[in-house]
Amino acid sequence: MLNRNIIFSNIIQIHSLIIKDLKLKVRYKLEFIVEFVAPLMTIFFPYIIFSALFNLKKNLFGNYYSRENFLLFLLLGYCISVLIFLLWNYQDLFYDEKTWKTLNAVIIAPVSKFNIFISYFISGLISKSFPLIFIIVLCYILYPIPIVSLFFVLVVLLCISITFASMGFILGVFEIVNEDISATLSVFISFIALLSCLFYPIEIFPEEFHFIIKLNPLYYYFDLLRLSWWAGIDYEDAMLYITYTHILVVATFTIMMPLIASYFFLIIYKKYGTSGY
Amino acid sequence: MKDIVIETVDLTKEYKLKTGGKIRALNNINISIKEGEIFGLLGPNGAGKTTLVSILATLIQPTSGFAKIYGLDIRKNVNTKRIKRRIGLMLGGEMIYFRMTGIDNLKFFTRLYRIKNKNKKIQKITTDLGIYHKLGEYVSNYSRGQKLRLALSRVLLIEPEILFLDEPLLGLDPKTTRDLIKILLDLNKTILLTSHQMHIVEQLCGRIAFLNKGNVIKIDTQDNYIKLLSEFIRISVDIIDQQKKKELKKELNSQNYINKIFERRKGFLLSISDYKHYPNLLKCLGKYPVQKIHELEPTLDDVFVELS
Repeated sequence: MLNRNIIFSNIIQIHSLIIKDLKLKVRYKLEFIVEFVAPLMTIFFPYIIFSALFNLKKNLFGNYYSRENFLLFLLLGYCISVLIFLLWNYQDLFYDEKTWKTLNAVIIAPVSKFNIFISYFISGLISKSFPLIFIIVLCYILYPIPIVSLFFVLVVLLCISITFASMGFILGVFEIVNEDISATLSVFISFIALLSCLFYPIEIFPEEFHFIIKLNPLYYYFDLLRLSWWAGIDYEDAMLYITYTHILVVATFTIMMPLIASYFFLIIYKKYGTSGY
Repeated sequence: MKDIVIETVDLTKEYKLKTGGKIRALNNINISIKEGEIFGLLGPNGAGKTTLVSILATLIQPTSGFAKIYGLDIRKNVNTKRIKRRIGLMLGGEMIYFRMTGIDNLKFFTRLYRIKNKNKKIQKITTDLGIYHKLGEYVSNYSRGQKLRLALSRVLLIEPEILFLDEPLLGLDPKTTRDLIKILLDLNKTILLTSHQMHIVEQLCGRIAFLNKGNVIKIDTQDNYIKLLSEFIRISVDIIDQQKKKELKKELNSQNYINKIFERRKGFLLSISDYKHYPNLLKCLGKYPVQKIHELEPTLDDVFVELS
């Protein structure tokens, strides 16, 4: 009975935080619409470049990237670039709440840090749901796959979102306690994101970079996403590239990151508190 | 005998300075507040009032020493959630979302604290505070006073047992101030209040702690504070001819029985230690076109100036 009450209480808190965040996000509606359209620009230039390159040589990279599927991978890259905002979501949100001086009202409420994490994660996903659904439906029309494969793709997308959000939550706590550290970490994370083969295959990088890229967990997430869809079209070809490392890295990081992020938030915030406003 | 609900023992807070070194915002603070007491925290800007409130509200950790709320040590993580359920914090007109409507703000916080019958309570409290008619509007359109009333509604709605109010009535018109003082007195809750407005502290607080540069200078009742100044006789002197004011100031400065001289627009405020100096003072003032002389009762304002 007690457990049910606690669960119910947490759900109400998460729900109220989600509604509050969405109301703040849609206060200025045009700003909200612009955010939908902006990521489309990120795939425009890679599309032009890849079109030209694949016209020159059909099997350009010697892997599963080809003239037939590169548009699909660009569209999936778009999905990731929509989700990548989760990296900066908490940072922006905590910065706003700090300057509005409302952060203390949430921090002082009997809300667990995990509830704050999960609710802003859900509200972030809801706010980006329109472009995400649009692109996934477009991919499905252009490159149809069985429902089981689509489900697996959605699971990988969810894993990507959770990991981005966890990293973002850590950035967020630094935004509260020290904006200098937060800005430095942002640059570092942007660099990691660049080295994760978002729109392009690993083969595009010089051989010497491959080892570094393969140390980056995000690389396995993005590769697994592309290969999951591709497995729905050409299962045997895709399975040549999916490794145990892909599954292990994605599963481990997806489970560990939210716990690490919440714990980290608690420790850092408790030690340093809000600073700067 | 009422229970002590807030207790601080050698509470100290240090901040690192960008230039290197440290600054002590609070220095070995020892206070205890009883259940149902309205306790005032007075002090000039930078005295450490908000830091103390922030520590007690679990927003920041002390550097050393400790504080207990209902016997629970605020430094321990396991206690924080239990403490948070029992306290309410109001930092002026802050802690409300300007991008949301008043009603959305209040509904959000009532859900966060899981308050039952929230609609009825929102209606009652906001009607009492005279803000009900504005609830449908965005808070950014509210006046300063309306924002304060909304912020106070937020704190009252979450039904805390202890209220931490930092400058709760700053910038309100006299009528609203009077109404809100009555509401706060009728609450019968433990309140820790910081304010620069002496008339508010006078009307609300039983005991007052005076802080300066992170130290508690004195904790006492209002009457005892005022008694502190009663050993001095405070005299107001208004002069007709402003041209002669400078000359009079010079003359007053040369009178060694005068303890303090404050210059005002119309004249001076003086303090002397004994009535036996009255004849000398009158003799001195008699040479100038003085319009009015009268003795003043000491107020908490004077205590503030004296101790700052």
